[in-house]
Amino acid sequence: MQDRKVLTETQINSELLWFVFNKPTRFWVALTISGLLFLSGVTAFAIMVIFGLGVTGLTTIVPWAFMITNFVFWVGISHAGVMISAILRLTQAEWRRPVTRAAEVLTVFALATAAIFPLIHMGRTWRAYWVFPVDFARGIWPSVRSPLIWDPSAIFTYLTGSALFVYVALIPDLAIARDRTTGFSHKFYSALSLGWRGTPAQWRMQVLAGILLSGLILPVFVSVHSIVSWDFGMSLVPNWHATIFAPYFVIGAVHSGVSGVVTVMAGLRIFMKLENYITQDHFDALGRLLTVVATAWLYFFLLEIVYGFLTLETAETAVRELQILHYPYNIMFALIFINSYLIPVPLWLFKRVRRNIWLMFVTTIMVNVGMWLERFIIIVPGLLYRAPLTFVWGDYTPSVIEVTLVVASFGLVSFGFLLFSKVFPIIPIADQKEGQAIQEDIKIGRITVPAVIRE
Amino acid sequence: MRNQHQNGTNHQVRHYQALSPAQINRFGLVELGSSGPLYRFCVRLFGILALLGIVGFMMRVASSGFSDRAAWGYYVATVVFIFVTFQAAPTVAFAIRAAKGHWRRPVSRIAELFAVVGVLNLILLLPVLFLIPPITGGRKTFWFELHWLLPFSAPGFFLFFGMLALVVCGLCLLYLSALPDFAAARDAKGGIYTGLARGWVGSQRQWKMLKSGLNLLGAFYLMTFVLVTTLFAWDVSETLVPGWKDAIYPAFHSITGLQGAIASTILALGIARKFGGLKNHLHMEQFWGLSKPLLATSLLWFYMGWSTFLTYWYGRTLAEQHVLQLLMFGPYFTVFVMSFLLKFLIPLLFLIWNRVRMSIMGPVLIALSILTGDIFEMVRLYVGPFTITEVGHEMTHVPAAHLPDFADILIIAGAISGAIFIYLVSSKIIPRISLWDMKEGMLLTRVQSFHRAEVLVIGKPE
Repeated sequence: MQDRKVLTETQINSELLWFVFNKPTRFWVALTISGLLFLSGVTAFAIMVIFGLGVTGLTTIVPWAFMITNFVFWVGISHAGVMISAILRLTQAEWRRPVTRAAEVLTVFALATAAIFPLIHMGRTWRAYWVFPVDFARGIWPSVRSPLIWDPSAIFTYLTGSALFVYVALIPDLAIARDRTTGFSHKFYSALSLGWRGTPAQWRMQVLAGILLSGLILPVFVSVHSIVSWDFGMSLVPNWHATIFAPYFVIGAVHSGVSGVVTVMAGLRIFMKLENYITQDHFDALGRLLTVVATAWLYFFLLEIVYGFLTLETAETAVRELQILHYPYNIMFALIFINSYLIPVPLWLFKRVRRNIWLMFVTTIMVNVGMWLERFIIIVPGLLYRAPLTFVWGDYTPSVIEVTLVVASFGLVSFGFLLFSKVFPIIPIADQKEGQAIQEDIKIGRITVPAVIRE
Repeated sequence: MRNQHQNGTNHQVRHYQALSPAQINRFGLVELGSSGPLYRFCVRLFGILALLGIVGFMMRVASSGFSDRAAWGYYVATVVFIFVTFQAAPTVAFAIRAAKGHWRRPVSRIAELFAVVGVLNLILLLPVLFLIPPITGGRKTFWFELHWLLPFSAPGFFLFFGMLALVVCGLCLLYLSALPDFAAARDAKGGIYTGLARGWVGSQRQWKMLKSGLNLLGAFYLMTFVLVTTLFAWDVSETLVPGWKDAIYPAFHSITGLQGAIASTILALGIARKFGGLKNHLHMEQFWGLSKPLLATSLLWFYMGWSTFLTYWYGRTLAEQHVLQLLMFGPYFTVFVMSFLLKFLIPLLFLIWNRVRMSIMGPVLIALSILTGDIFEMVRLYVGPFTITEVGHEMTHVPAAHLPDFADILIIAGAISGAIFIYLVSSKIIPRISLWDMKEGMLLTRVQSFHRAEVLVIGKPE
């Protein structure tokens, strides 16, 4: 770490709590914009409830499209939290400190947003309870052998674990906020900080809980997107029935999620003026990580494509042909490769690019555009395959309602994220202070080298 | 000189030794060219076993020729075993160097030294090229045929050149990494090291090139390793089995290789510490550091295998049922169970405990379990497919298990012994510990007081 700053504890407290205790205009502007986007989605959903699923572009041939794509996309983004937080915590990567909270919070809101989409997709959302084994008198039992049933279990386990993960790490910071507030805010933070005094025993418990949660949530993190992939892979739809789907979805999710974190970090640095905490070093480190993750994703991407052609089965090659050669899927296919690998990765090889916040912001948004399209390309062309003796040859065009719902999901995540950062410090204060405490310098000859005390 | 911080709570402080560059050099260079009785015994033993392997090979040629593919299944499994274990080990050196952990310094060279085994494996690969069936005649494939150009089939062409690139890259990586140490040996001993050091004087420019070169070659080695693993997976096993369409298989095979790489490195570290006089350099940190990715790769191995199994189990097409029969539940069921136990269940049940990971014997025994499991795994993945003669979209029947004969046993023992023999001989020419890396580590590490404890302070210049 080359551009680290020496900050006092008082300075850290005041800078990181500034946004919590003050009401800058830019915050309200951002909250209003994201709130309006979210409201547009609520309106679109209301229209869909009133007029039925007919207002979407879904057909009997293509029953899964935009909304399921968006569901998979947000589940993917939610992988950022664990990838960054748990793995970096377990490997004791020093640069993780300012990054973890934002990543974890992004996980929670992305996952909550993802969970909404299958419900919307049902059309008759008020009958969602039918998929759960409740009201035994009805004698309707969901098939436990179906991945569609595993899915909600995995997602809610992950959501609970992630929320707990955020909360456990937040407790010392809540106590700091408690000690600096009065009235209702004081009561609120007091209740949430669970009597934290920062005794050695409490710290020991907190650290232990963090490590345990990191270890326990990793398998959940892998299982969630694997199960999402099995929603597709367990069927015999051409292009969906592939053994690679689970790890391919997971690595894609990590690619998408870490890119999402970089986008958010860049946004936070600019929006909340956190230059002292989110430094170029963090973008450099995340850029390196992304290069590795993107290359691994490319390997899986290529394997998935190559295997489509291996057996030269008619149905499989027809779908590949649709994906690669036919408009508009061919454009999307090209964009996936260009946006998710061809442009960003060669750029990330250069340190100057990795340390340029705006370039990182733009390239990571590009990645997520590519990754959204990737999910679309996986889901829709497989269903469009024109099977023998099929007389209703469908096609799919998304309706305004679906597009609005997708756009609104970005509004919802931003809205939640902004609200969180208004109520809680978005950079872990205690963690940041610990990072300062273990910072050292050592002299080698005439050179001073930045050093850390080994934890 | 042992430091005086025995009361520090941090195990890293307890194991920290402040050594001068001269002390590091003296230790590293004194063993070059000299050998003890145990070393000489091992070299002779593995040399003789390697010769017996050649006898086994001759027996195989005499009894089966190259036309009976099934008879060569164990030979191929052995070649791939060496590939996914010993030859994979230099990837560990690259990975831990890229992660910039200080504990890696005594580990890197021991892992990189495995690159020399690639020369033997390249030779062992040659008969395999003639055993892979051509892509004509209905066999599914990824390649175009080059029979007008080459004596062996097109898949063999790609495999050979992939392997050649890997071996050359591995040797370059090893040489570059050892270059400053060769210069130290040149200054102390002269002889062959004068030529090997190639004018290294340790200028800033040379150091910069060395560091960049190691990163580039390491990355290239890792990528080439994954590529060659993919080629093995495609051309030497998967496409021999009609109906085996498993997109994750090359990645699964690569993870098998990375798991084998870590296991080989840990085993080599354990042996070097116990019998090779490196007790003062190799401590618990190195084993602890490597046991974590060992656990991770074991879990990934299961995860990818499970992904295949579940998809096939749900798909239940006839082709998928036959492939599951061949690889898991049919004639090679025992082999599959052994592989599952040794490569996943035992590592998981033990490495999940920090006390096991934070020991020396624990990771070494688990590494031994994984390497043994790798032998079963390669038998499962290669011997079965080599017995299949059918072509088309799916198997009509699953052949019975092919058991090894005496020649096969000689070949397996001989090839593995040959790899160990080459490694042992090389370790007397190239220092087993990266001397310059150790010296750099000493420069960047301090022990100092922090409140009431003694702590290790580590410089992070990059």
